[in-house]
Amino acid sequence: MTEPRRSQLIEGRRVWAAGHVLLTGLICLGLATFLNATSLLRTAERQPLGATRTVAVGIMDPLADISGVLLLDRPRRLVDRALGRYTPPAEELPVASNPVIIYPEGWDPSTTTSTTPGEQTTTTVPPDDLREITAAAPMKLWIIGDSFVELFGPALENDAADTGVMRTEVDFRFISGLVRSDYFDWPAHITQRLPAVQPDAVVVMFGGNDGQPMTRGGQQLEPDTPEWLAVYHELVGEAMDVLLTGTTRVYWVGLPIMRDDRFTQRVIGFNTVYEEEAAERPGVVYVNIFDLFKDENGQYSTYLRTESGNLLEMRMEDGAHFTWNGAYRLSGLVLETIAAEWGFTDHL
Amino acid sequence: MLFPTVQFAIFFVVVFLGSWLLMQHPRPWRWFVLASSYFFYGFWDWRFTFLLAGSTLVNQFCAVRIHAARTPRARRGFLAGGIAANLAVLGFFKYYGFLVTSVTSVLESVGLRPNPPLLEIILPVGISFFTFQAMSYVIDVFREKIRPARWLDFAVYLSFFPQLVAGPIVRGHEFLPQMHPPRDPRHIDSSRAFYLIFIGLAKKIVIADFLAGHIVDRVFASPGLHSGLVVLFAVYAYAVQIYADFSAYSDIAIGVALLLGFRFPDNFNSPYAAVSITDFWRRWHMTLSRWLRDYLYIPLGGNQRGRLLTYRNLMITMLLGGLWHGANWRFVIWGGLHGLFLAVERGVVEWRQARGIAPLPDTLWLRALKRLGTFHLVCLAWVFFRADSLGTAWTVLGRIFGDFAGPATLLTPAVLVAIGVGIAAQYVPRPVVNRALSVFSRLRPALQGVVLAFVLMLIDAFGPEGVAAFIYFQF
Repeated sequence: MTEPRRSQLIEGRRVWAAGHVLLTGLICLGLATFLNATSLLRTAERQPLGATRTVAVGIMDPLADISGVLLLDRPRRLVDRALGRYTPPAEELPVASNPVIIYPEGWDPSTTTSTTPGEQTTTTVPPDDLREITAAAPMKLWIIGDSFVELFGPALENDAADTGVMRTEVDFRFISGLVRSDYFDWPAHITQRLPAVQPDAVVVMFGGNDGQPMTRGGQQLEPDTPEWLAVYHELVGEAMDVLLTGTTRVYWVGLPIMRDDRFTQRVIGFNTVYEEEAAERPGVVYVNIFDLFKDENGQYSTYLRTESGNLLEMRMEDGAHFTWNGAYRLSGLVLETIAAEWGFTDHL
Repeated sequence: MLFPTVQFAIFFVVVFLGSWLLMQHPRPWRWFVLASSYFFYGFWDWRFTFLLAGSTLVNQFCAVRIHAARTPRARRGFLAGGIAANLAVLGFFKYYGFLVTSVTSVLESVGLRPNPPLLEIILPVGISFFTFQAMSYVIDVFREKIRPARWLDFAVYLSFFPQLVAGPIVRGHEFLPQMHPPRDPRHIDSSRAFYLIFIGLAKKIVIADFLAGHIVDRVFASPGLHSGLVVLFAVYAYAVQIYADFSAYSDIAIGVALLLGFRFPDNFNSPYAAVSITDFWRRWHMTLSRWLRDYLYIPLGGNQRGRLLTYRNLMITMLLGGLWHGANWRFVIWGGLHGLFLAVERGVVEWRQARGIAPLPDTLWLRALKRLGTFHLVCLAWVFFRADSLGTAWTVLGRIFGDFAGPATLLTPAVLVAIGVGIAAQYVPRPVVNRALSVFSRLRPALQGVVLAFVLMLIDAFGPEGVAAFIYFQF
């Protein structure tokens, strides 16, 4: 510590020359890059495949290695451990050929289970036969997906609560989807959560972030190509199969018309995949919402009329996501679909 | 380009270096800062830069013409033209959707079925801030508080990237004079600048984003599904979140400007330590408060035209202050509540004075009580500000006052700590901060860098993944 001259002080603080300030800033940013190297590498890896990701990973990968060699990653690891957020590198994780799932006692993943509050009895119903939904034995609905579920999930949750015969749980992740399991592995998450949630039915909405390249067998596949769509078919089918291991019905909500024409064309392709995969599985219902968000001329519009004729703002400025009005418009359709199949439309 | 990102860090290092290297060459410096600011703004959407350039041209034209006009009538004409142009731009981008749906709804209620043009409008980031800044400049030229700046100076002032998208709203007389004497590259108040930037990052990433994700968003999305206790704490959490979020942006903006040699006015001063609503508005979004005072409340007559007109002026100012945030009845109610609180406070003081009742003694307990009461009134108004609809706001209040019992799984220790820290931070005495800054400022630059790097590591570790946009960007 040095004693500054009076002319170098402002309210007791020492002032510094621009060169010194730049040095402070560069040391801060440089050292912080090494201290946070693992976290920065993870962030870089989760970007969509492409030039930006390649450059970011190309820079952060060696820096993360150097950080490890110099033990500069240790403080961050210590803090992450203390916060319970430490994610070990892939090479430190145990290798398992098949995931080991531990189910609660008395629960069979191939059937639907419902525990009536107060009675503590468990009724088991065959998967093809939907059980009776009552206030005493309400339906458990799990609503999962990407950012499209951010408002749609709570809207459905609120509408479902009004029926008096449904309990819900919303689980959505921003910028997630089915093609980037390295960012968020939905099938693994579903497998892990199903035994705890024990849903009678699951409402699923994915696809908003799935239009990005994938790598298969060392080859990069571009979205919308037949090869890419073939892999996407597999991923969607896999997600449906995983869901059906722990629930009776899956309501796979398609994507709506978008403002951007290219995005709309992609959505049409995605919806075809969802519809075809759902058609192969009796437990999966495809909910087509593409037309629900068209205007009277069959085009995209931010503003749409409700059944009562009111003109409301339904879509956000990005031309994709729903506003609350849009979320409730969708929620109404999905709830009607579920209630009709499960036989509790009188509660709507 | 968000402040807490790697892109901004790289951008700022380049701007910092270029700005100080060009400092002794005023003209290249101005072009460099202007280009940097347009790059920063265009990073969101390059089309927005045309709006910013258009606003610059129109407002500077009006200011120059006002100054050159020979008759009061011509001066008033250019002033009115400038204000009308600014309000038209703001109205079109910000209130179009609200007007279309509201007018259609009214017409349909009387049996008409209009077919209004339904335009797809994207709200340009920060339009409310730079439009208000431009209006203050034109009005100040009209009032002869300042002379019109040079075209290039005004362009730099209006687009200066640190405060461009979410304030503080810096006046012309505060900014423009700072451009003339070149700033001394040997005297940068870097410790205060770094403090503001890092405290801003911590408030945004560790407090605001955490509370949003762990309690506020969930409860306000479905208030009817949570107990009154949880809903009450979600309201407290939102009060902390919006303060931490908005003041964070101001702190970072002020700190970044300070590193470039510019001093901005403070925008927040421990607002939840306020002892009255009047006091709150002296501490909350101070640059907007004084804008509303100087360009709306006082021109309306302020408190100089009798008691009733003073109340009316307060109410109009706060209602329009609410509308400034967005075209929604929720913001109108928020502003109206604050206008009502201010009017009642003023009424009580005047009533006591008229009856010769002495002011209450300023005891510790009474002050604590006043702070508690003020905080809860502010929270009540925040319910309408945050809720997505009036129905949701009523549900929130209904849960708090009607159904307090129930599970409280969202009230985790971390949430309670974040709320507690957010409120307690308002009471940290300034001398304590100043002393810490004084010690830090005397460390060698390399050591300062090491300390800051570890602070950055902690902020990143405590924060959620990714960075959410600042709340006030939408305004």
